Amino acid sequence: MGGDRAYARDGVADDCREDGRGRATRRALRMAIGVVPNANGSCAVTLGETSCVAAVRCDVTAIEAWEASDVGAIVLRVDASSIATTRAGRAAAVGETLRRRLESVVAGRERGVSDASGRASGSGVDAWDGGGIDLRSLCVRPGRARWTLAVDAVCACDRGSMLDALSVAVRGALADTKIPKVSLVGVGSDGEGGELEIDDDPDACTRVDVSRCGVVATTTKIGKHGVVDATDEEEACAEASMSVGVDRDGMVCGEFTTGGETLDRGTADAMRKLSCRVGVELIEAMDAFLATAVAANKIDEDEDGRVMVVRVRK
Amino acid sequence: MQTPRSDGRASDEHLRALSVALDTNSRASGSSYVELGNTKVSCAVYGPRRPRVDDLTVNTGVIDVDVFRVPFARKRAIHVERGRENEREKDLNRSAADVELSARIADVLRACALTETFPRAQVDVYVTIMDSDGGEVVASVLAASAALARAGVEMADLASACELVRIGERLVLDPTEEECERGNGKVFLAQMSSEEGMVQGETFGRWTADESRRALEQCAAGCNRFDTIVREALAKS
Repeated sequence: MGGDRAYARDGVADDCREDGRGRATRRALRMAIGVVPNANGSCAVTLGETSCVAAVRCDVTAIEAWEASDVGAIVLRVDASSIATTRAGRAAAVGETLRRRLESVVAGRERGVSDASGRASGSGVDAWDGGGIDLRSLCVRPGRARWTLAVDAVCACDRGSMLDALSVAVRGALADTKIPKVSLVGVGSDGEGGELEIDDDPDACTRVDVSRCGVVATTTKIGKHGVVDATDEEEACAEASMSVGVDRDGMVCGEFTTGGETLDRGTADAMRKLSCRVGVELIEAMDAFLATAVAANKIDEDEDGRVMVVRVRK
Repeated sequence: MQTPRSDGRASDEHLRALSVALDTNSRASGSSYVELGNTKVSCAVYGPRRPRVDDLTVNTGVIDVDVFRVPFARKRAIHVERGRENEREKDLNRSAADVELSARIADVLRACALTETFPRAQVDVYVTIMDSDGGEVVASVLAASAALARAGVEMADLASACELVRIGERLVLDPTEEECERGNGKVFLAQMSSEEGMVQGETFGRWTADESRRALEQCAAGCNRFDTIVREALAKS
């Protein structure tokens, strides 16, 4: 075992990590909504030195004959460039991993069943388990038109716990999203024809309901203990890690583990418990901020109201 | 009274028939062919060889995994998604999902193989998915770890894997593609069975913490049964 590993292990065992945090303490989380002017909703997040941005664009798209007729769609894309990540492996693979996980936790879409067909999003509404976003709320006109929310998440700098930061950013961006009001004009007497009129007056916009969307809290096992919100140095010393998506009710909405010989199920249970607790705390802090920030953003005057800083608890 | 499953299995806990053939490829250091129901995966391991300079590590060996999918193993053609039409993904047989699958299998193998026993050398693992009816990741992990063992790579333990899908209230082990599509939650587990060490776990969908734990336990039991079959095949060869 290298010196750095032993150092990290001893620190964790003494409940004092390299940067002075305890095992269950997050780094400072800072988030700001409405940071990308030409997106319908956006959110920038920094978690310690880890930073990322997510933005949502809404488009009205046609519903094709073979698609489910009464639901909208969410298309998530994660850009993990090799500049941003220090993780080994091809950037495309890293991005795809992050995308699948976020889609499950935040958007509640990916069921892990799409690997054979490339993509299965938008389907499976019958099997919807009530997590994430209700796609039926994104339907403009059944059988004809729907909202497609294109969510782009960009990793700017990965200094550990990238997935946690991305989940906060995507959830924040969705909460900030203003969907323009759409009305149908000039429909013929037979119910056919007509045009969609999009009104992007901020007062007329509707919001996406993110109350069932989760965030990710990752617990990293170093030595005998689990720590939350690991830095990249700590991740390099880790024996195992478990990322758990948690929603406001404390339900697990996605769980992703990497381990090895030393990770038995008892340890995994303890890590899950810690992740759930920290995740619920995070989501409560986030929702309290979003409730005021989204209102402040509507009248667009209070710059400070759109930025949240959660300080490190010592 | 349990409803029988769509492919004729009597119980939710039943696994499909797993057959493992070894040394199927005469040119490779180790190879295997695995059938899990209708899912068919072939795997060949080459090496050890001198790695490319940019892959060179000092104290440990490198395991590189590539997953290929024969065009007829795909259910539908992939649509080129917005913004995804870059060079690497233009080739229809190498979608982002397959690249990710390669990385996942590589992670599992790296955790199981004792990479420090072949420093400054590389082992290449080629997985070919020849037919897919659910559980292709499971079959790929089983095939790759068996082939790696046949190639004489020292391993802490064989990797075994199993999947589970939740359909309504039922937890269905080793689901077919059709069962996966009806499900609203899915669990994948790769483990080292002799130690019951979790190597890789993925849970999708919305679960209570208890449900999620129970699902993992069932998966672990499935892993153990697959592991026994692979071990028997290796012992016989």
